[in-house]
Order: sequence, then C-alpha cells, then structure tokens
Amino acid sequence: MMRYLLPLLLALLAASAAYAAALGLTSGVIDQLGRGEAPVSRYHVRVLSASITVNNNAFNNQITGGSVTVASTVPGTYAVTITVSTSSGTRTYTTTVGLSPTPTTITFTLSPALPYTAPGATVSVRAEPA
Amino acid sequence: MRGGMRRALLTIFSVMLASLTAYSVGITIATVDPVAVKPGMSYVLGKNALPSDRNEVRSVSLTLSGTTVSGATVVFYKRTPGTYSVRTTVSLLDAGGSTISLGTVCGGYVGTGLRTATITGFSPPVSVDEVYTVRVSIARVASC
Repeated sequence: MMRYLLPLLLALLAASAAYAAALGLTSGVIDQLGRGEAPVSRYHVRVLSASITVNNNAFNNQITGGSVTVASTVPGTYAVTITVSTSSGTRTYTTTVGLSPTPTTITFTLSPALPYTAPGATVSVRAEPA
Repeated sequence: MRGGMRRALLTIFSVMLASLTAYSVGITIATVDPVAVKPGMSYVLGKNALPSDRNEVRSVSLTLSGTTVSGATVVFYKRTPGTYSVRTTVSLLDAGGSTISLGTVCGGYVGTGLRTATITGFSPPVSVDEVYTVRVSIARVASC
C-alpha cells in the first residue's frame, strides 16, 4: 500500500512546492496571480507648497525646519520622507501620516540646522505606502 | 494494489489536483499597496549671493484649478536694502528635468523684510501630476 501512496504524496508535495515557487516569482506582478483580479491603485503625490524656517535673517543663516503641504490621489497611510539639501549638506526627516486628495500640512524640524547657502535649498518630499 | 483501491486513490488525487488548479486561477489578493506613478516632488528655493542681490526664497505655494497649476505665491526675504525691481520666476519641471511650464511676475519692492510675489498664470497650463520639480528664482532687475 505504502509503495503506491508514497509516490503520490511526493508528487503532491512537488506540485505544491512548484506552485509556491510560481507564486513567489510572480508576486511582483499582481496581474499574473491567477485569473482573480484585485484592483491596483496608482497614486500621484502632490506637494502643493514648501516653506523653510531659518534661525535669523543674516546672510549666513541656517534652515531649522519648515513645512510642506502634501496630498495623494489615493487615500491611505504613507511614510513621508522630507529631504532638505543645500551646498552645505543634507538633512532628512521622516514621518508617517494619513494622506488623501485633501492637502495635509506636515511641519518638520532639522537637527542639526542646515546652512542656507547660495544658490539655494532643495526640499524633496517622497511618500510611500506605510 | 487492487484495481478498486488504485481507482480510489487516483480519484482522490484528481480531486485534489483540480482543487489546487481552481484555487490557483481563482486567487485574489484582497489588499494591495497602491503603486506609485509619481511618489514625490521637489522644490528648489533660490538664494542669491551677489553683493547687490542677496535675497532668498523662503516659501512657495502653488494654486490649482482642478489639477491644473494656475498660480503661485512666493515669499522671499529681501535682504539687500533699497527700492528696486525683483523678477520672480517659477519653473515647473518634468521627470527628466525639462521645463514644461513657466510663471513669472515682476514688481518693485522697498526696504528689507519678507515680501510676497504672486504669479497669476502659467504657460502652458500643466497638470500638477506632470510636475516633478518646482524651481523658484528671484532676481534683481533694472526695471520691470
């Protein structure tokens, strides 16, 4: 009896392993996961404003923080990374917030402060699903 | 193994195989993270270092009409004293760094302190979803 059952069980095991491997390979492409289709939302991040705060009004001042107004076309919780860079260096601030098509203001602080040097500062905002 | 037993095992195996196949084609992922088309934007705020122009941008805010960028408000710190004209330019750049739209305004400003420049139109009109970088520059000019 076992002589016949064992090959069947092994065949079943091999089929399951192959199926699991196929799922793993195709998991990056959701559409290939069988015929059942789940809607995949595609989002745009909209940064509607950027503002910096400085420690004083002298020419050699420093950026201590700021705020950005951010929206996403797909509501959800996002990990937001704000990067501020000048010719003197780069600072990064991360937070997790709920975004929606209605803009949300995120206030951030930089530690240590970043010299605000010519020709200027770049404030980059990136949001990814948390 | 007798024929009856073999048929029974084959039937069980076939049913299991059919179930697996049905499951594999019917599987649906219930929750999928959204996929980024445009995951972020950058703002470039200008600061001038000329002896006659040491002004700097502090903030910029875009105005939308629907999804079209229709205006911008720029706040800059006028550090270099005196009364003179300042041209404020907001460039909207695509993913490749090319300028796809431009808005500008020129005005006379007095003294020192925070000053506001309001841009009321961009040409050509573009959707905010096409904009990857907003570049703001201010420049002292002889006249508007």
